Amino acid sequence: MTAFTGTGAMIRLYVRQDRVRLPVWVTVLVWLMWMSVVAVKHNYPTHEDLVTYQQALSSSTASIMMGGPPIALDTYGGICLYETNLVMVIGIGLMAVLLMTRHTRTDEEAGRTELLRAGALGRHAPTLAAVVVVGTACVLAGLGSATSLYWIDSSRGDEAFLQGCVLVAVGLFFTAAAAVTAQLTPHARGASGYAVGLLIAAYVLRGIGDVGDTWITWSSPVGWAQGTHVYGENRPWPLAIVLVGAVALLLLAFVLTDHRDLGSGLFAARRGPATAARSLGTATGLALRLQRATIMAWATGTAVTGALVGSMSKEIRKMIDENPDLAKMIEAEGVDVIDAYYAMMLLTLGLLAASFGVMSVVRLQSEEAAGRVEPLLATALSRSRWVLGTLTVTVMGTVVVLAAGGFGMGLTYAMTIDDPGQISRMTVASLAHVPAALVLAGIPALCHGWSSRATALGWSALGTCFVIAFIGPAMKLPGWVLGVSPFDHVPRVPVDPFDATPVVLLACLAAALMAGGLAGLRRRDLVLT
Amino acid sequence: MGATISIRGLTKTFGSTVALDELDLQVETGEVHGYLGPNGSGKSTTIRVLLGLLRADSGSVHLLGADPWKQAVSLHRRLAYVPGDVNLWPNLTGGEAIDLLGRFRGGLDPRRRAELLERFELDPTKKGRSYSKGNRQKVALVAALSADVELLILDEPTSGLDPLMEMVFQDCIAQAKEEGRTVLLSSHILAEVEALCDRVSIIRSGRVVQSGTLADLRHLTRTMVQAETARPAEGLERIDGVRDVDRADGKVSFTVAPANLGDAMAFLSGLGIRSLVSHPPTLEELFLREYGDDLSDPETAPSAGGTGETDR
Repeated sequence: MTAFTGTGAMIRLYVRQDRVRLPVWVTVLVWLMWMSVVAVKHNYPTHEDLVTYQQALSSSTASIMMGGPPIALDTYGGICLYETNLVMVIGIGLMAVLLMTRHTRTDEEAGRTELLRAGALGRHAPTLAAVVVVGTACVLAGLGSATSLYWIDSSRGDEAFLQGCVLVAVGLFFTAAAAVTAQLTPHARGASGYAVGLLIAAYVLRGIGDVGDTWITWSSPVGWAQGTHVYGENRPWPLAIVLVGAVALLLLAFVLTDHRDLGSGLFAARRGPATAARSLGTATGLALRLQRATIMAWATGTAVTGALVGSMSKEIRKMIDENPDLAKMIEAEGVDVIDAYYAMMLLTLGLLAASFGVMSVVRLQSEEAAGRVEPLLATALSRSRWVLGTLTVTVMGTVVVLAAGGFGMGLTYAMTIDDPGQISRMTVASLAHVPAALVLAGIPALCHGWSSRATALGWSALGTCFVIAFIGPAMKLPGWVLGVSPFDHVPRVPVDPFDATPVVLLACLAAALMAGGLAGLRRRDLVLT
Repeated sequence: MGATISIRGLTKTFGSTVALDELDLQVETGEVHGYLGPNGSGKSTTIRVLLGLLRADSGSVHLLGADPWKQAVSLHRRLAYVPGDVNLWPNLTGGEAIDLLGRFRGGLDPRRRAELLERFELDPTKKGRSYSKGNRQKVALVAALSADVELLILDEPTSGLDPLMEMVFQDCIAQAKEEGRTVLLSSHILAEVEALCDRVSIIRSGRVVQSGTLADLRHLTRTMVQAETARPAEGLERIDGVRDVDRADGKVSFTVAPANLGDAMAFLSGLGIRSLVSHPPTLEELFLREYGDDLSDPETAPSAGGTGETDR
């Protein structure tokens, strides 16, 4: 078994490398589960509320698509699974894929694997060690989630544990899947891209199968895992299929490793054009080229999310009408409950768009740190134009991401209530959040201008706004704390009438932050590699 | 013909590290100027101040008659730069990167671009993340050399190239000189500078310690000789141009000026040569001999020069 020599040492290396990353992933996943368990208990205090939930959502196509087969929706556990499936399955799958790729193809692409393999290290040791480390993370996240479920209904501990196992199984399957995709392409981005694509495809296939209650569910590894029907039939045997699949994939990864050269992939690297398109001649053109795929992905994500939410208006109305606690939570008293609910969803879309905006601006720092700015700024491109190019794309992308979400929501809402006017109404309403999102994008822009290292503060500001938006009202924080978030000043469209004053002021603030960044950048040294 | 680059008393510090210490540098228009120094001596820092990417703490810096910090953009239209460590966009092809850099500079000559791609044997359809270090260097070289500019600033441009490509590079620089361009070529390889440069400035620990034509710096081009002879090499010191004689275990080592190499060889032949090694001095030997530096000693070497990370 010399092919596995050194696995122990590799495990120690990976644990050392991931000593922050791993606990953060696991904690966030468990925290997400915990949060929704708390929310379910809070929103549906009585058994009647649970029954209402079941009546409203057990046959909703969009809910089944997102949440999985509707099982035992008159129990806390059942509702929790239904509400968290999307986030938990995709979350644990992403953790598995990203960590796995990081320790396999990323290291190989950077030449670190070559260095290690020149020592007494077996060919399969890096992959096996990564599987052990990432698999352990999956087990911890699964057990943590099970504990959260146990807390909400301690009489059904076995079911909570089984659901934990379902998540672990999904995690292990995509750990092994990422071990295979790491063999396919010479670049880490391609490897994780294929694996994430597989994860999303598996989730969508399961959704299509669940909606029609057909065999299609069983074509997806996520469908196998959910075939346990936790809180319903509670049958553990489908997990065996998932685990057999995972082992088969891992063996396939070993076989592929045996048949290829170090550094190469099964597919050759793709080529591109020998000359640049005309659009690639300005700072904006370059930034757009670097970010267009990201913008498309974000816009698709918000459009699909919006469309799913928009299609559920009838179910939502029914549920809120019969549950005064829920109505109170979304401040729907005395107004149209659907509008109130959608105003809250638009705020969420606004926060998502702000996340895109921050990510887009932080690229200024990452490009600088990667040494790609040095040759650019040694040409006749000025520092200001370089930054303005990126910021232009940030603004464009933020608008597109928000408008796509609002459009998706308006489109399906218009279809369900047969009122085409909702398309433009929701799209326009979504745009009210653009200036607030840009204020958050402006913070890293300002920081970057004065100190490249400070750019990351943009993430802290964004995180603060997420916390304020989601748990601020529930925690009854004072108004001035809530007011720290720019989104707190955006009129609650479409419930309240649009008020231009705060929106224009937010736009001015965003512009001022960005201008402040430009002023700083003219004065400082560049960070050079 | 005036000076293309004129630096007086330039000082640049990073925290407590003095990268450049009262540095003077003069590059005349139309010359190929070698900027020679060991790694970490401050070459890249000097160049980045010249490009307006770093701000001088004190001293005066003139590039093409203007201040590079204030006039960066208009000056950059007149020059092209190849960084020592070329980083490309992972999802742009080499060809796209060349065009992009060319357009930002104000256009490039497509005919020359095609010719250079062929001479450097560079495939422009590969994505940035697929290129090796040498190929990334070629991308930057093709972009710089196909620009119609007055000044080329090259920071260790051949560090990833194989010897064949090194020859192509030397041809290109010779051609640029014929076309009247000024070249500032930073290097830590003495032979490269010897082959290309009209004048040389030597930087050590953030200061230019010597500057002049290669003839002025004859002592740099002395040949190192190690020989084993049948009879002891007594009287070698009496030959003109022979220095640094050292005898041990029946072997002798010395340095000799090019003009006197023949005399020294004739003398050794008369003693019966058993083995003979001769080579031009490496930069390290030169610094050790001329300036008493021990480059392996961390106390005296790279720490002073802009830190290892700015000058790889």
